[in-house]
Amino acid sequence: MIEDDSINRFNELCAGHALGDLSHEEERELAVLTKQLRIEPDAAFELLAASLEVESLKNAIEPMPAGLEVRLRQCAADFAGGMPSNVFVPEIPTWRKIVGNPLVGWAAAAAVAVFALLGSPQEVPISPAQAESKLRSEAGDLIERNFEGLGEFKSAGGKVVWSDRLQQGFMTLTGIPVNDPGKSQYQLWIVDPKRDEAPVDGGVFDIPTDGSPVVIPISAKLVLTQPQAFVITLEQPGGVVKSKQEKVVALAKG
Amino acid sequence: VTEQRLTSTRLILPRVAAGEAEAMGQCLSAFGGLVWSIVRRYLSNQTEAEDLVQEIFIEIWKKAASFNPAVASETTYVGLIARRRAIDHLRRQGRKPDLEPLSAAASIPLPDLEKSSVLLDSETVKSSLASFPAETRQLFDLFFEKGFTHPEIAAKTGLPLGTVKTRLRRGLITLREQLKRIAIPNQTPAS
Repeated sequence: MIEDDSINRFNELCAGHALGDLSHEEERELAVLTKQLRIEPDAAFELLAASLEVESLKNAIEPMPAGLEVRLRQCAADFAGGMPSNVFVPEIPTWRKIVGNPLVGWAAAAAVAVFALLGSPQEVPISPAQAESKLRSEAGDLIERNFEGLGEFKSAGGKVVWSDRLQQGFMTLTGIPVNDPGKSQYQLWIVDPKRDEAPVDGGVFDIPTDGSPVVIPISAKLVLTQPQAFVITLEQPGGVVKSKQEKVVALAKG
Repeated sequence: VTEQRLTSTRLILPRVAAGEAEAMGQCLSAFGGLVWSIVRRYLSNQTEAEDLVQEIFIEIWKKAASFNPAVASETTYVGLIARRRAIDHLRRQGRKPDLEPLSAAASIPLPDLEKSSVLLDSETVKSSLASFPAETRQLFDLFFEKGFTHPEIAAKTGLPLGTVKTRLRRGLITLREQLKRIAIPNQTPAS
């Protein structure tokens, strides 16, 4: 009976989430119940809400402003060629500690220049290395930072490049130990204080070969506005929604 | 009719996922007005709305590979992303009177659309809604059709705010239960 009550409450909160009307306390309650009951919110609620809203707009669709459409078409042209996808919305309010830690200096390790320019890729799918080269040639606003290994991962290094305009980026990593995906996986977090206090999940990845540079596409869940730091952690398989930061592998900031 | 439409029309999102430049433009033509209209429901500021629409399209392109026509139509999938982002934007801005800032909300994982307990067919949704009590239908109409907020609905109907909230939630739960009961094997969604 108690479990039935919990499930009923869980469903009510899921419906509220889909309707966008949960209070702060209810959001917390839903998170707790999700964990306790070990069930995920049913996507049907959001799908139904979206379906109803879309249906209601069928006869009331307004055209986009012309200027916006022009911008979007330019943006679409930039994006054509392959886009990474993504997963989580994390909540980790304590990341500033890492970013602000003066001990984590960033006398950057010798950069690993492995950006072999492989010509202009015309075919899809293209490899991460090719996509990275393409990004370098097309993004006029590219930022580039060096990774520095931390703690037991001192040998870790590499670079990260990111374009706000194209919302695309890549890491080229070296010296990170090979992981067993069945036991643990690496996860990237992107600290963007201008956007949000919580860092954005940049995706889960594996290091399949030891020592040789690996190019990993960044899969940012949310649109980034001005990333200030990129942090790699080692987490459970599949990654986590909230990192305990027990194993921080490398940091790139500035 | 639905199956005919699905087979006779080339879906856009899978081609966006494959990086077809032409599909990107088609995506904008097909869904630009829808995304804009959804965002305008939530945001009155034109500049903010335009920025958000741009963010939404980037997300649509990035998540195009996750679209599954067996779960929902492209229109619903795009609408879901647009709606979710608009609500998230308001939550972050802390502007909606009955919503609070992000932190706890962010800890709830996004539901996996593949695991949805119902497949969507807009006709079935409509006919299910028709069987609802008049009061619930009125609340759904005010919320989804007219785009009123909970406090606005409470003011219009004279119902307490908490009642509006509870009845809308229970209405959505009932709708889901009805659709689950109706579940048709090999059902395909309508656009």
